[in-house]
This record gives sequence, structure tokens and C-alpha cells, in this order.
Amino acid sequence: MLSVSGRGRNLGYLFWLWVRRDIRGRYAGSMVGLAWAILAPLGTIGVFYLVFALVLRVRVPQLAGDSGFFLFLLTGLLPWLSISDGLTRASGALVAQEQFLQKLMFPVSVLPTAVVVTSLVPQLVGTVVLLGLLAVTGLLSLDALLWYPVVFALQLVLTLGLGLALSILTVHVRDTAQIIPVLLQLLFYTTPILYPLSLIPEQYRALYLLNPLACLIQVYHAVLLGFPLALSTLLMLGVWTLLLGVGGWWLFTVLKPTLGDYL
Amino acid sequence: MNDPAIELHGVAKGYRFYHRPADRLRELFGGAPRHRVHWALQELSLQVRSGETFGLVGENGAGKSTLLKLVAGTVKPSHGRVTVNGRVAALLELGAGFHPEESGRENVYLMGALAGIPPGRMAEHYEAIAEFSELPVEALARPVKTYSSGMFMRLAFAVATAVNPDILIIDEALSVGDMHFQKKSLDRIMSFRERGKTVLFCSHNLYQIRSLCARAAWLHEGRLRAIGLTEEVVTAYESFEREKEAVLGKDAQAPSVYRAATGGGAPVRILEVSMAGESGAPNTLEAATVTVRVESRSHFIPFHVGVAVVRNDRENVFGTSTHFETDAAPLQGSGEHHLRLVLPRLSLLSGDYWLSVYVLDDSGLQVYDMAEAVCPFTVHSPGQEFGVVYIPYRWER
Repeated sequence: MLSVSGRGRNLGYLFWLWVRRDIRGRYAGSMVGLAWAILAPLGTIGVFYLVFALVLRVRVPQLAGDSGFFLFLLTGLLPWLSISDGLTRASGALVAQEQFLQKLMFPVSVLPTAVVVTSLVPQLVGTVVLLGLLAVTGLLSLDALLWYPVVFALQLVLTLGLGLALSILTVHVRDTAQIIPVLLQLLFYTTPILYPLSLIPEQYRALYLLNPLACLIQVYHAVLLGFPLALSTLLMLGVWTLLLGVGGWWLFTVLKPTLGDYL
Repeated sequence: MNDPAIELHGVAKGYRFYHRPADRLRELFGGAPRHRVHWALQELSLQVRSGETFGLVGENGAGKSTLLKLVAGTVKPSHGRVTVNGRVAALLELGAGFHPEESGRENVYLMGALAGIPPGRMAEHYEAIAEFSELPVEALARPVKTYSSGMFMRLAFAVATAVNPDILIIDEALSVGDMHFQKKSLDRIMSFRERGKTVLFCSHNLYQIRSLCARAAWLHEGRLRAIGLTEEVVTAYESFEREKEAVLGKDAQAPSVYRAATGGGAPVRILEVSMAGESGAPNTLEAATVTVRVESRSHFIPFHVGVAVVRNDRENVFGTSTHFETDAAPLQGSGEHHLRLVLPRLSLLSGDYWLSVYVLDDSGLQVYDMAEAVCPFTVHSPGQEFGVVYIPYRWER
């Protein structure tokens, strides 16, 4: 028998092993396996493109034609899909593991964070494609490459905080898992992803500041596509990120000690 | 050896139950309390010394699992303090944390990381775990959902005990795999003991508790009912279990010397029954004496006296009577008679017993008087043999 020195839980190592498990568990048994991580979002993007660009003929003032709308759609939808997938699955991350959380000492925060991180994979792959398309159409700027990681980091903080909060809220109030998809639907249609914000009457646009994801997606539009960005949107994104990122982490820390009682 | 490995001080653990899920929400937002509390553990204080193998017995729902979870740290106490000094490895459920889609190897890596093995040393640990589990390389590469339950348990046990903990918590995990592997896993637990590790062991298998643990505690309805040397605690628990099987409620007030109420119309009646060992309470393999005083009202009525040792589930362990002796003449004569039943080497093992005394006619068929289940006494056995009676034996090898 071998001994182990120190009490370190190698959180990082455990995290990556859990990420692998999450990916493995998700696509196990399906024929093309991991390819679904790309195929599923691709399908969603295709449907939205068909309906909104070709049938409803939605146009974006700053970008010309169907291909312009496609770039617009991709810029907003890629982060959205990963966020909504991450939050939906994070809300069930602890409840799904209740059996063994009662039996093992496990660094609980690993579970929702790993789920949020695996949900980023399609976004990252898609973003490489998107950047390629932008380069081909001559829309890619150095600024975009420079600022994209910053916005991405904000997205990460925001979703990790929310994911942690939702995962532990679901343990206490099981209904959370049912509410999340509905809430995400509402947030989706109040975020300028399928339509540019310019289609919305001026007096309603301020309301979009109340949707943290609308702020985030607008900043993505500004960074990648060079859309004009109101200072208020940028500021609100900062506020939301701080509030939800730190607040979510705080809620998680507060509720964690009683976790064993409610599983 | 100085600090206790595990110390519980005034520990209570309550679980809240809500009539409806919405009640919890209302309470969360400042409503009046709507829950009722189930206390799984109450007023529990105990110490497990470092290097000790400590047993835990009790009925289902007595709070054993809650206690183990508290020590393992998966739940927090509602009141009181739980102090654990050292690394804990808990075998609360073998295979908890395994993922069916992952291979044996991948599961071992994750559980190993959880136990604190750093990435750089995982490979060597993995080798040791794989070897102990005796699973072929081919099997370790397969998803564990394809394993037989025996294979699964072997791997789970191997990984759970691979990392060298200071404190090992075991909940009913010893019956793993086939006979060969059971022996191997027991050996591993024994080797923990020998290397001075602390083991907290909970089982319904009282034989294993007896053979592994020096001290034990008996939990009953969330409270500590007894704590001390294993033999005493387990014997008390067994005795309780038997009584629960319904039979003789042990009268706590029952005197160790039985004295009959005066009166009664029997021609020959029992006055007093008592039981004594060499020095007070009877011990196994020591001399013990049952003394019976009877009174006959008539000079002409012959009678016999029978004595039975009864276990507390009303099972007769041993009975004899004066008329069982060859050519035994009945007793006769008015006035008091003193009889002594001498047991030169008491063969009873640890447990709680009663005496039943009968006064019979000269045929041994008609009962004049009787005192059933009187004079409770407790036998203490110095040895490790278990069961009801001591049967003389020797090992030849």
C-alpha cells in the first residue's frame, strides 16, 4: 500500500477528470459520440437561419444580405447556446449526484463548474469557424481578437456564478430545475440574437439592460462585428457580472454546509 | 496515541421534514416554522482513541449511518462538535462515485484523485489498486457497467482502501466478492489495525464486531445506550435483541433473590430462590450455586424440585430435577427444606438469564408450585468463545 502526503485534494486534477466524465457520460452510447457537441448546435443554428434569414427575411442594418445575418446570428447564438446548456445542466448537477454526495467527501463546487465548462466546447469550436468566416469576408479586426478573450472571461464569471447558485438552489427548491428552461426562453427572446436591437422601438431598449445576457451578447456584437455599443450596456454588463458572479459564488458558499441535509 | 482520533461532544443531528415542499419555501422567506424535526442522533458524546478499532452496533434507524456520515464529514451536526484528527477514508458505500460508462481505470483515477493522490503519483497507485483488485487488464479497460457485481465490488474496495488513511470508516463493507476476496479484504482491514490506524466499524455481523473491535458502542434510537468493551456491549445488545423478539420483558426491578409472597394453598411451596457465583455474579467456567428454599406443610407429601436456566427469550438452556437422579428418593418432611444445585463449572457464556423453579409431586408430573423466570442474573465470560454454552474443546493441528 502506498501513502499519500499532504491533505491537498488536487482540485484542478479532479476538475479535469470530472470534465472528462461529464463529456463521456453525455455522449456515451451515441453513434457519433462527441461529434454531437458540434452537430447539435449546428442544427439549431441551421433552423434559426432558415426561419429568420430565409423565411422572415430579417436584416441587420450594419451587415448586408443573408450572409450578414448569418454572421450576426452566429456571433450571438454561439455564446447563448453554451450558456443556456451550461445553466440548464448546472441546475441539475448536484441533485443528479445526490447518492454519492452523501457517501463521499467531494469538493462540491467541481460538479456545477465542470458542467459549465464542458458546455463551452461547442462555442469554442464554433468561434474558430466564425473568426474564419469573418476573416474571409474581411470583417475581422485585430481589436476583435484582442477583446474577445476579455468578453469570454466575463461570460465565464457570469455563468459560473449563476451555475453555482442554480445548482445549490435546486437542491433546496427542486422546482428550480423546472423553472430554468422557461426562464431561459424568456431571456432568449429578450436578447438581440435573432434580431438586431435596432428593430426594437427606441423607448423599450433600456429594458434590455435588465437582461444580463442581452448586455453580454451586445458586447459580443460590438467586439466581433464592430457594432456600436452604448456605454450603459457595457457598464451594466460589468454590474451584472459582478453581481451574479460574486453573488452566485456567495450563495453557494452559504448554502453548501447544509447540503448533506437536503439531498 | 494521546489525542483521540474521533471525538464527538454533545452531538445532535436533526433532519427537517416538511409536510409539503412549499412549506419549506415559505419558511425560507421568513414564515413561521412549518417543519417537524426528526432527531437521528441526540446527546451523543464518545471518543475513539487513536489506533483503536471501534465497533458500532444498533438496530436499523438507530443512527449508526448518521454517525458515520458525521465522522466522514458528509453531513454537519445540528448541535455539538465532531472532531476528527487525521485523514479519513470512508467505505460508506462501495462504488459510490463510480460512473458506469467510464472504464475501470478511469474510475480508479477519479476516485484516486478524490482521495488525494496527486497526478504525478497516480500511475504507481493505479498499479497497486489494479493488482489488489485482481481484475485482468482487459477488464480494467472496459466500462464498469459491463462488470459483474463481484468484479465491481472488488475494484471499489481496492480503490477505497488503497490510499493510506489515518482513520478508516467501514459500513457493512466486508462481504465483498467471493470467499477468497473476502479474506483478502479482511486481511487488509486487519493490516490497518496492525499499523496502528483507527478503524470505525459498523456492522450487523456481531461476530465480525467481536473479532475485530476492542471497544464498541451501542446506539439505540439516536442515543448512546452502551459503550465499553466489545464483549459487554455486544452481549447487552444481543440480549436486548432477543428480548425484543417478544418474550420476557426484563423487569428491571426484579430482585436477584426471589422471595415468594406468603400464602397460597400449595402443599409444598417455594420460599426463596437465589443464584451466586464464586464471587458474586457468576462467571463462565467458575462454580455457581442455585439455592432453593421450600416449605412443606405436611410430613407425608413427597416432592421433587426442578430448576431450569432460561435465556431471556424464554428458551430453556438447561433444566434438571431431583427426580432425574438415579434412585432418587423424593424429599419429604414438614417445614423448610434447603436445596443447593451446585454447578462446578458453569457452562453458560455471556448473557442474561433467568431461573425457573418447580416443585413437583413424587411422580414428577404434577406441579405443586412454581416460580418461572425469576432471579435474573448476568453471566460474564472471560474468553472470546461465543454462543450460549461453553462446550469443552481443544484444537488439534
